[in-house]
Amino acid sequence: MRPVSVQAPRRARVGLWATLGLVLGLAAGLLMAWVVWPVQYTETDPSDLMPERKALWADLVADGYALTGDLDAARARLNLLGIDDPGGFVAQVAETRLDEGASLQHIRAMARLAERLGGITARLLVYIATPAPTPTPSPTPLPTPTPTPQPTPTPTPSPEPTATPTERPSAQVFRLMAKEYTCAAGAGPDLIAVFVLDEDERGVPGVRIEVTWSGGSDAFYTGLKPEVDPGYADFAMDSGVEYAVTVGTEGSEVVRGLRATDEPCPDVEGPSHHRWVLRFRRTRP
Amino acid sequence: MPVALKRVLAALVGLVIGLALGGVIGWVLWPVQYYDTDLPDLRAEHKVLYVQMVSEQWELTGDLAQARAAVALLGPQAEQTLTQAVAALEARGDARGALRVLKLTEALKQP
Repeated sequence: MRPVSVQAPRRARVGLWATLGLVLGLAAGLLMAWVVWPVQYTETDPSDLMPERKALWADLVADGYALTGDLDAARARLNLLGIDDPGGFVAQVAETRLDEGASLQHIRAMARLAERLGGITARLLVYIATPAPTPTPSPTPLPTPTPTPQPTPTPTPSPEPTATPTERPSAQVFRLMAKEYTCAAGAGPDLIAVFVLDEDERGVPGVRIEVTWSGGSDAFYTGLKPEVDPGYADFAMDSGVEYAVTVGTEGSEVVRGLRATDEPCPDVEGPSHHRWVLRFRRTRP
Repeated sequence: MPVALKRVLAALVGLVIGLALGGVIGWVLWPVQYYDTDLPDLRAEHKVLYVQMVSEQWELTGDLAQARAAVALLGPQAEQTLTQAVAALEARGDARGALRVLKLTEALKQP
């Protein structure tokens, strides 16, 4: 009687060795591919950047836009991040920077870019629309509360006012038509009151106004007080500081030497304040 | 052929096939993914753009410390990238941009 073999057939044993080799080889191959010599990405795109670097990229794009005013370049630079909603992303980063205490100049730059890209948020709106304290220590002009409406010589047909700028400031040139220092009834700070009109004497909302003084500057837009006039904006002056006002940008006239004084207002009963009233009219560039 | 040699050959064949399979899987099918890369990993043209943007921010704010920190994020290649940026901008005809980066480069040399 033949003894019963307990060993596997030779072919099966060879297969076992082959399988063992395969497993070892696979393990070694994966070890090399994933650990020892993994695929190196040394030529990456901004879209691959980690989130904080993408936010930094957006910071730089916004400041670049504030410097050059080139919206197409800003858009192209943001598109490199591969984000679906660049405006919303800029706004999101701006709000983060706001919480982190970034400079007002930077927040404004970001807010303006976000607004241009259609991503502005309610929280940021104020940074593109109203005058606010500047980072320079003094003087520190504040937005005025609700000034007494200044009667305008020409009735305005009241086009639909907008709270945000609707035209590129650089596309508009304005010329000073009237400059008057007046007394106004009511308590409050002395003001620079600006009326910006078009060729047909209608108020123009969304026009950028820049106020500068020794050691600081501020910018804001017409149209935020449509109850006064769609083309109206004002700025609170500090006593003893001399201001210059520019409406629009390139080619527009600069009005200098605007200073609040302590002259009495005998014609006004009760509390009063002074105001420089400036009327600008749009002209062809 | 001796049995032992057959076994060794089988193991070797298995090993080679396994290595090949591991390589295909690890390098081609599911390679290591770098989705949170940093600025030094960017391709050269994007580093140039980054430096250009830093120089614009510097011109706007005048904050050299901020610019220095931003350039330092490029790592050891920062200085080289600044030089490349000047050359690239000049080649592109952007003399103003090149000058801006050049000024930044000089300013960063100050302690």
